[in-house]
Amino acid sequence: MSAEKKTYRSFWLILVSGMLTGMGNGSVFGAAMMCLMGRGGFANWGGAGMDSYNPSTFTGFVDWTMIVFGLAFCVILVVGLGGHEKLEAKQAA
Amino acid sequence: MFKYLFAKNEDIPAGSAAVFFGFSAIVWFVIGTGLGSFNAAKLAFPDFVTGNMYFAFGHMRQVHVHAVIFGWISMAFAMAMMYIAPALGNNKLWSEKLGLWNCMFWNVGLALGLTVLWAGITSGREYSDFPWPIDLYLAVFVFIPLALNVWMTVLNRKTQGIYTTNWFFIASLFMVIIVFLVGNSPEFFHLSGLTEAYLTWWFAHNVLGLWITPVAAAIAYYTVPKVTGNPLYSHRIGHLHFWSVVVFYSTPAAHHLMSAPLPEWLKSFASVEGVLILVPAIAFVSNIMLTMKGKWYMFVENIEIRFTITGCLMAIPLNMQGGFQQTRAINWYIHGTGWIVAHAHLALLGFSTFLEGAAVYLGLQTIMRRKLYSLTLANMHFWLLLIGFTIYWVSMTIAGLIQGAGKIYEVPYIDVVIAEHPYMIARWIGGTLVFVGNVLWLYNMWMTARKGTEVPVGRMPHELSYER
Repeated sequence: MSAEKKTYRSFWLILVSGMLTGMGNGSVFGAAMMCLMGRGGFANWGGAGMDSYNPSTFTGFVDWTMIVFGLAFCVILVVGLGGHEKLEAKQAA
Repeated sequence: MFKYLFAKNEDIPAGSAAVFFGFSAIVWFVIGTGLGSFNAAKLAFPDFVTGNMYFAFGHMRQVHVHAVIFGWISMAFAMAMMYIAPALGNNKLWSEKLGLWNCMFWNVGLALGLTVLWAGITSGREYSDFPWPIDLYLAVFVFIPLALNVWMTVLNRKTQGIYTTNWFFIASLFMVIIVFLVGNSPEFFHLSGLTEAYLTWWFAHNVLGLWITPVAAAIAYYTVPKVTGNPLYSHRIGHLHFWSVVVFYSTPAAHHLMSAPLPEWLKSFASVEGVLILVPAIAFVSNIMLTMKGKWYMFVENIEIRFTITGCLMAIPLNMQGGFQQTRAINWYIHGTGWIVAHAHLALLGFSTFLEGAAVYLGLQTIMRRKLYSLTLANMHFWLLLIGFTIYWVSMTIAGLIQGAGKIYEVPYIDVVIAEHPYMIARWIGGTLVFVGNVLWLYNMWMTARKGTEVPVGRMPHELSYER
């Protein structure tokens, strides 16, 4: 497999796997945080439409936690796999 | 395949039962996900197919659930056991004939059970919806013969020790039989009330925790070392995984009933056990990841490894969610919402399906000695499954959070329904992608059997390049 094809495939694998893994962990963190903080006023439930992506609302906060965790996991995968590749290249040489 | 049902055991080619199970599993996967896509369409578009009670969501939902659990997942497990147990014991399956009849009875029983469910005859207990005669049938004609075949194969092994994968196989088969017989006791003995509720969830959770999760993990313990050629990183961590599943994961049933008037100590106990699932989970994921050392390029290049490692990665969010969503505080928020549906799919369609997919891909190619017909189709299958599942899981988790917030804020129910409508459409799109991927898979494996390049003795299918 060419290096270009490998990079292309790695990109998509890291994006999907990282977002999925991170969003799963972020969902737990966000929900726990919301439970700890308790609910605010009725207008802040953040369920309808784009309000569910407004981080100042109850639902929006958890959604954004998921997204941030997802991106963070992608970064972790990029750094981790990159480091791994360097180690393997060194071993192969 | 049918001609071997009445042949002498020694005349049946090795691996026949596994091939029969493998193709049956894929067919049930296509049926199960097709039904899932149909059901999702009914939630996304409420006017879709109305007026016929047999196509009502209440009739069809449990058919979908049972088709994927006892058709796809469990038959893929049986397939994996029928070729991995002999491979690890350096012997043949104890009885190919029993295996073939086992598969035959399995298909007949499942078709009968699903028809009965579709007709509306149900025990009404989630995951054990089959009426009690079908439950008994499944125990006697499905799980006990499978267990006998696998246990005898391991007993007659020609190797000295028992490899981690086979521990999981033999223990899970023992546990699933107990779970089936004890978990369905409310139906056999007409138990009701809290006892029924508790035993229902004892059954439902243990089917996941003592059957699906450990067998899926056992498959990874085989496929990763087999395909990469690396030895398992640590058998000791494998021991830790095995025993911590047995100890911590046999009693968390009450965490499904945190608001029920069960004894408080039981709920607390179940909740703590639920968090302790992180011990086997971390042991498993780290063991597999470390086994990949020096072979990470295969995650990108090799289809079986890609399926396996993706499944292993999904074990991380699965167990983080599973470990904490059943603690009292978070459970109060997300209980009874789409979050749980998303989590259940993360376990069954994410984690375990990807691991079983790898086992079926590897197993069918190895037994039939045929290289995969089309790697492009396999890649498309992978991506349709992964993207479809991800859309499904993200949309349902967010819908669940909206429902949970709606519950806490006492928002009128119809407002919550309107708010989550876009996510229901996304769920249908995701589920349909998975279904399309599986149709491609069935075609690809069928063509592999008919036209796949022959694999020489002693070679792995992925070692050969394509000739065309």
